[in-house]
Amino acid sequence: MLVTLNDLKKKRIIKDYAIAGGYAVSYYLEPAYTYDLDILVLLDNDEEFHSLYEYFRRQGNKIEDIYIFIDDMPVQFLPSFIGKLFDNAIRNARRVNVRGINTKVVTVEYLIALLLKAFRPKDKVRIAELLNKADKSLLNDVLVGCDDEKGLLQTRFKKILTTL
Amino acid sequence: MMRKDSYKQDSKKYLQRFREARAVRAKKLERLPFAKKVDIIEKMRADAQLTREA
Repeated sequence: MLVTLNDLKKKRIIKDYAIAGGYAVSYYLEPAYTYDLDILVLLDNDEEFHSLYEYFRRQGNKIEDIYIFIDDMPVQFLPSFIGKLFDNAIRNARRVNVRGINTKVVTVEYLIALLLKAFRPKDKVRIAELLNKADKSLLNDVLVGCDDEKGLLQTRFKKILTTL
Repeated sequence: MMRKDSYKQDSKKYLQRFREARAVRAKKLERLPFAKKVDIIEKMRADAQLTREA
């Protein structure tokens, strides 16, 4: 899996990537069940995103809805051009070595911001658990720097704080 | 009435013990290397797949 992702970089199909979602949560907390693997990919536009799907189609990978199956794992690729939060999350991701293979995982501060963006019930629980692992000042910078005009991330974060 | 109160107290104590044990277990698992955590997730996914197929 990680070898395939690193190959995408070597072949210049993507510029960079970082692990997010459930696997990233498990990196910081105890391992928890997750159906899929969320990968943020550094891409400039829709055409590059299309090329990524085309690459896997040519390789014969199963593609179902939003998922590309790699080694039986449903992988959801989230392109960085969705927004600044995704782009910065990849650029600031931490380097990790898994059994001799280099990879990147989003930092805990960006992970919290991404979970605030999704904001499903399970995300709210995870945010509360991840908070004591985060640098509060850095988290504030991420939320302020990557928020939308309505301040959605900051509003949701305040809501979470009132429940703690 | 007394029995009901006693049950209430027991269940509260049980719940407290359960939460404490869970927190200890979570802390222990948290410290595992990422590769080991990935192995555990893979096992959970395989179990879930078997359950779905059954």
